[in-house]
Amino acid sequence: MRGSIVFIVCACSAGIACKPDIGNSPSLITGPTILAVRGEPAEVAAGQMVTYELLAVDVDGPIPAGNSVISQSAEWAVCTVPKPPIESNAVSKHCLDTTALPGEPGNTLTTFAAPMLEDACSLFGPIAPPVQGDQAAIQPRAPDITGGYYLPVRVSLKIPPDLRRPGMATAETLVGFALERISCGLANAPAADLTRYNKTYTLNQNPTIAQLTWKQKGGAPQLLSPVAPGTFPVTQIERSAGPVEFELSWPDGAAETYPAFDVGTRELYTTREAMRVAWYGTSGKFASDTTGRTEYDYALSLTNEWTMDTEGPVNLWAVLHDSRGGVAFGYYPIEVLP
Amino acid sequence: MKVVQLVAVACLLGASAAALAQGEGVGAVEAPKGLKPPKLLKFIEAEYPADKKASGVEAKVVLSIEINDSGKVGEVEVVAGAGPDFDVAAVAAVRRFEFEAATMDGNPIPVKIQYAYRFAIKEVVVKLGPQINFEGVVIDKDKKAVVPDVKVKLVDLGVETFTDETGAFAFLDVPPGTHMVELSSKELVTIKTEEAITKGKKKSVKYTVEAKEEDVDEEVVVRAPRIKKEVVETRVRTEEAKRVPGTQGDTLKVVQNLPGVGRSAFGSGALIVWGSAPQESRVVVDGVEIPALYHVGGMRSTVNSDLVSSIDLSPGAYGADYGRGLGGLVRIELRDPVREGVHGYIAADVIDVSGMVAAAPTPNLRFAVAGRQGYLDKILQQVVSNSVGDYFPIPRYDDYQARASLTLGKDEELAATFLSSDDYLRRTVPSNNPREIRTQDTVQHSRRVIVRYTRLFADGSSLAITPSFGYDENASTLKFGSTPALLDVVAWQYALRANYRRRVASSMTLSVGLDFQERNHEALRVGSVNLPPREGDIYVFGQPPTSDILIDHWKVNYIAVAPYVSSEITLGRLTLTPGLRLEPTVLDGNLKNPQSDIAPNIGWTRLDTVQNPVPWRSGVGEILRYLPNPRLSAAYKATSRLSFTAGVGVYGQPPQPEELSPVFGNPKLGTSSAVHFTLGSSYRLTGTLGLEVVGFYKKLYDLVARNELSSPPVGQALQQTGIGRSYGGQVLLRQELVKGFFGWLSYSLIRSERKDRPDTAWRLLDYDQTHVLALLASYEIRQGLQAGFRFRYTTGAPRTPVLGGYTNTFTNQSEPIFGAQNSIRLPAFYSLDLRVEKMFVRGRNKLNLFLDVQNVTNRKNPEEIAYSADFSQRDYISGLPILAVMGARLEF
Repeated sequence: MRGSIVFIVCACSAGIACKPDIGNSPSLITGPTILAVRGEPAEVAAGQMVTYELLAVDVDGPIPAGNSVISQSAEWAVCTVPKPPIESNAVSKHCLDTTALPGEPGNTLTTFAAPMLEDACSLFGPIAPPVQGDQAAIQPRAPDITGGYYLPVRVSLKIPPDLRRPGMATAETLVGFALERISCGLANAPAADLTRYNKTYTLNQNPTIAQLTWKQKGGAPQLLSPVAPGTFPVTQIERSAGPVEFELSWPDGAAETYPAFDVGTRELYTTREAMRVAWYGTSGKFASDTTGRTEYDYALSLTNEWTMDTEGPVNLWAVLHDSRGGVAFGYYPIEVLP
Repeated sequence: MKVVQLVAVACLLGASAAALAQGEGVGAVEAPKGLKPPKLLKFIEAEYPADKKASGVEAKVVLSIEINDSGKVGEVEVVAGAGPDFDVAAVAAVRRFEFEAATMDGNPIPVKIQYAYRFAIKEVVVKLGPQINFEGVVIDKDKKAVVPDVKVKLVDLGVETFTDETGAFAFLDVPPGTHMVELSSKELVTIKTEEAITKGKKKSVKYTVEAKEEDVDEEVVVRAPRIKKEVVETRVRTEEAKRVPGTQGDTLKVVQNLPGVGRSAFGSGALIVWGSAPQESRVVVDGVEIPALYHVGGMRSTVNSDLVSSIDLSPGAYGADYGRGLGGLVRIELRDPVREGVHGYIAADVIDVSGMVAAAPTPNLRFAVAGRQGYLDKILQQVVSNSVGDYFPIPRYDDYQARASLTLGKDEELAATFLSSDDYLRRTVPSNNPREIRTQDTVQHSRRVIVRYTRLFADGSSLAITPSFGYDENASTLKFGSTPALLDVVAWQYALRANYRRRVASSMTLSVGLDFQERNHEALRVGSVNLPPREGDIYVFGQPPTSDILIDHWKVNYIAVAPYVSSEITLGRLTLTPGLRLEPTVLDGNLKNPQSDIAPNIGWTRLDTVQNPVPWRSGVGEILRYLPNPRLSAAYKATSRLSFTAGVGVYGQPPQPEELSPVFGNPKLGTSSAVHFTLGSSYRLTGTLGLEVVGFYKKLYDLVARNELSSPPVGQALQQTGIGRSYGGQVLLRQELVKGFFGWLSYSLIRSERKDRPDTAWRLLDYDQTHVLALLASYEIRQGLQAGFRFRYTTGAPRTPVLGGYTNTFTNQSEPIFGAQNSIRLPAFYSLDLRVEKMFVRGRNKLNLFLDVQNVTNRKNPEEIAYSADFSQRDYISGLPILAVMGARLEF
């Protein structure tokens, strides 16, 4: 009866609801996965060059260095089609087409360089595209909560048959999208706010990871250094000592302050980036897949508990995001001892 | 003659069935020695003033009576009166008393005594269990033959039955008092008469009726023309509805089991009628539109069942008196409060507590107040150790009603009704990542004040005027991390419905009316254009909105004046009901374009109407397009048992106020329209067992759909390019309540499709359900003990498959890649529900205990598809497991 009553209220009617636990936790890496794409710089104006760096991983480590099978370069493309209101995803389904604009190959197998589209602010931003003749004016794009507009950049990886898994974009392709922040200024705001905005707004910069420490119950925090792919030896952690508490910190200033325009109150205000960390591992279980700080939380670190379940080498990754799209990531291989 | 003054001691007996008049001595004065007081030999019962008896007024009249030496009553004077009517009745009765003369020392003498005549209502002792206490037979005056299939209705109680093959009818446990009896059938004019049911006595009547012509005989008074009935309409007696398993005694929830009605997903409470989307159907109470039939979650209806006289579901092709909807129509008629005494109930189960009190302070004034308060959230806090509210939605609701009815004169009534309904839903999905904390806060308020004036004229015509006003608020605030999704719509509704009906010829009744409605909306919306989702949107359950934040704050006013006219024409066995309805609507908005600090904000006003879907757009076609919308139904009674029906009509619906936002919608949207066709037949196997088969086809035009362009023009996020069609049929085999048993088997085969743009293919409506089956029955095993079951089966709703996913590295979440829209379905739903109830009767009080067990097989019915985070796996979110709801209800 108790279960029944509980379920009465689990109406699961719309929007948000109770979901059954299906599949693995997002933090558990069981096959080829795209974890992050970092655009450098994190925010650019139209025409400026951006270099994108892919963080794709497998159970054996980063791709491609850790896995010789997925060795070819990632395929990149810049999407030129905005998402229509009829679609519910962040990017248009047309961006999955191969007809999107190619870019320049980067200097590594996982990097790519492409200029920000000249018309990015009219395609994806607040500037209404010019109309011709009797054509009706086009509805400009709306910003996100930080006032940002974003260009979708697609990266695809062809996955060998023995590594393919359900849930990929196609039977053989793994796809990820980066959303590169476009500097378009402020639109549809009073002139005074616009002036102040232009004076005080600074382009977003990618955050950096100051350090990742780990400790077990009763122990002192120890530094877990990021390493280049394939670099060993690695940190050794004893499973018998219990769960590990990781703490990832970032330097003061990584969470930048910036002016934003409140579309509700129609006022300009100064706010700060929210920070979050996505945690990944090829074994064990994190207490939370992601942890975060709000823009009003000035702490400079985030913790997460990790419970080991098998002995042997484990690959860990931490991806630090700021709320304007800036990214930093680190690779932390460890070895779990009995 | 010397008259001895004394106080008599009279032992008086005598009582009517419903009331007892008693006499008693007054005071006590010592009698002279040797005096023997007079002895009452013959008591005459005074005529109880009818209006006083009806309203339960008791009285005592003190009289001075002269009794001569032969025991005859002489002068009678009122010493202490109780009002002229009581006094006159008492004096008249006492004058006819006979006494044995008083004696003094054995010699008869005249005396004067004081006597108190008491008018008292006799207490009723109700026998346990239902008994027939009102029965009769209906006979054709000319043919001298019994008339089967006549509907006999106790109007004030809202119960009805039909005469069987022998023309007989019977009612169980009709409460004592005077009741309005209404007889109607397609062969007869509707007639009304009053019958007094007395306590402990069975009333047997014979009604002599005359077909087609109005007539008056000794027992029957013609009051009004024939009642119009929709060509496809299912009406359920409230007594039956309360006993349907799975409804927890909620009369209005029975609608979910009627033919043509799809099953709404658990927790939604939506009404899906003949393949229409929920927002396309209308619910009216006493002719006034209300926003929802059920509370959020669908657990309870928003109107107290004990105030409901009847529920009528018209899934389509209904008459000209209603409109503003493309789908079905649910009409709720409220019942008059009790006509005597004080009555009411209090009930409680695990979901909520409710109660009602009804009284008639005067013979002409009656009122009732009722209320319900949900407390599931509070119960959960007690029985669940964890903070369930953090994870699960906890709906909370309340509703209150008040109704007063005043008899202004013979067949002239004024009723005032207040309806109030509130819903609250709050939930939070916590996370260590503030970006992934999800909260939902939904509030719905609805108020209605309805005044209804009705009058039946001596010539049989009738007039009903219903002014009303109301307030609705529907606010939903969701937050996905820092991304908000807010929609708050506040509306004031002012309405006036007036209808005049009269017989204009022996075979023709004409009805004219006006349906005026003004709604003033103010709306605020913040967030993505994709949330809340629309019918036809492709998304997965629980998908967060995109991060773009739009905002709009706009006002929209509707002023709709809909005159209508309809008629009933009887041509032998054929009855035609043609009608016309014109629905011009003035739409007015304050924003033509998105709000701007730079450009001036311009409003808009336009006149719109429901256009007839004429295929050609020039010449005569253009004229026909703007003519009043036709409605026509026909019924042909082939035999006394077999009849055929057909109907067609044009219907329209203005855009939702949310759709007229220049940011999220399109201020230029106009009225959508639909054409309904129905064809059916009914066969009455016995007097109470009937079989109905109905087929239907609906075509919908100018439906609102999202703009498919990547960059839509300003103010055109929505466009009016959609069309739709629904078609299918339904079968209903129904045994009405007889000898404690009732039940029905209903099956609907429906397909509902939409085409959002001319260049797209037909797709299934999100709510499409191919097969809908309901089998239910309830039986009174023995006095006061009833048991029933309900079995339901429905095809699963369509869903769009997810073929795979890609990673959005900005959010660290996968997003779905969809296949063909609505090309898969949820697995079928079926559920067996049981209900047992026991009623204990003690005097006027009744205690009803019930156990309502839903899904007794504990089947895990899939309600939605849930996917793993990377869309590699999927599973189903199940609906109700086995659920036992126990409750009690005390009536007084």
